[in-house]
Amino acid sequence: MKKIVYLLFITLVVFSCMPDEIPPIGEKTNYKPMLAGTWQLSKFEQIDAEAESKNFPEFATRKDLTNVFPGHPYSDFTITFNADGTFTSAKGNSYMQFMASGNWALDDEQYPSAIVLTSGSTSEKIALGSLADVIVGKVQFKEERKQPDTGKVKIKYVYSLTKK
Amino acid sequence: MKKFIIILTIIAGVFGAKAQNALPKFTVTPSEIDALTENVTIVFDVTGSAVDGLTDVYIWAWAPGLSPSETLLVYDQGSPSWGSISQNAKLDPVPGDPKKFKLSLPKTVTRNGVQVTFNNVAELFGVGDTPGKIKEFGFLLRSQDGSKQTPGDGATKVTLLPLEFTPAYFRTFPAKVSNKDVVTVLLNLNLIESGENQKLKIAGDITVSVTLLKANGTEILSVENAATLFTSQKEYSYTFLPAMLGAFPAGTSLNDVAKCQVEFSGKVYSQAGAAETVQTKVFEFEFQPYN
Repeated sequence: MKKIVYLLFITLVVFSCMPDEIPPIGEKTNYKPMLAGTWQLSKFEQIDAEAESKNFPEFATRKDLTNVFPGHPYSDFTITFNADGTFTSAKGNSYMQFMASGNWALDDEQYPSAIVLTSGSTSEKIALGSLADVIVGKVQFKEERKQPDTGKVKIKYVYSLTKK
Repeated sequence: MKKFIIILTIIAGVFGAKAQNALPKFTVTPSEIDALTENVTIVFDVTGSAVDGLTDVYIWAWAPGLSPSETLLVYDQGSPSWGSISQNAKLDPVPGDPKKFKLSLPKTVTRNGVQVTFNNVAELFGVGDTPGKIKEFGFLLRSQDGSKQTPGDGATKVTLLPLEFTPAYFRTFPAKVSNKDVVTVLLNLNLIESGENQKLKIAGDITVSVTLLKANGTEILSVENAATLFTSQKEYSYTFLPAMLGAFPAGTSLNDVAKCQVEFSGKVYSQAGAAETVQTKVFEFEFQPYN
């Protein structure tokens, strides 16, 4: 009887130490079809990175530039990512500086962190914010200004876009 | 002829003295520092200054608002004394260039028999625990005995990035910008400086004039009397994009824009209804070379 108890105990210990089978976690998200479509800029913000790092008050850290220039709202800006890999952008009356047309691709199909725009020999990498909200039609582009000698980020721009 | 030679001698003497009075040039690396920035190097070029030709050059630095205001480098104990500067204040020579000297942080020295390392500007001035107290420091370069010195009127100073937000009479947002950025200039009349026309405090219709300049101070273009907005922080603000501020004259472009001057104006009305225009001083800031 004692032997059976030992055997049962050993069996229990051995099986409890075996790794659990990892359950399937579903298909990897393919963001490219989700990004295809026309996006309109809904908010354009400027952030003083130095002030942000020092936890300065909001008014000294962040500024909403969306409608800061009368008659030239940044919300005029739209960009269309076509499923065939081409894109077109329209700045409307805004002062937005963006490539007008060309090809677009993700820097990494599985784990994208940027959209790469190319037009002829010109190429531009647009950093992406979190892609968690792409499914509900929201995406963020990010731009950073850096100090050349230190590489330190000094100013950030955040473009929030909504799918039309 | 004799008179002519005397005049020539006087002119030569005046210009010679002026040449020896030139301000030392200096470069701070990294270009933007705050009181807590580490690994800072300041290189001084003494060419043409009063200490040009000396092999041993000392720094005498002070930070307004501190007591004592002098850096701990200039004295070993007690209080600072112009007549007995510490060896710790001697600048390091730059190898291969006898006219250049440098101060590098961290810097380890012996003070009152104890070895001390200064890692940043705040520690250099003895406010390592309260770095927000130091906003800038002025300096002059001198010989050990003090018989030779560069101007000490604050003409040579290092401005530090703020560690905590301090409301100011004039500021920009972001605090430092490049000429490719959206720039907002802000005026807080509640913090008007004593040298300003105090009528500005009761002025209305506040407008602003903005001028873009080349590095040599040549005007490129300007916008006169643009309308301002009154913000929730009770500041008058004006936002612009240098590239869109106006038409660039032929032969100039945004790449030439190095500095910006800003002047606010307002109107004060007498009881009889006559309007008087009052203006602020001209504020100037430099654009940063951000990528």
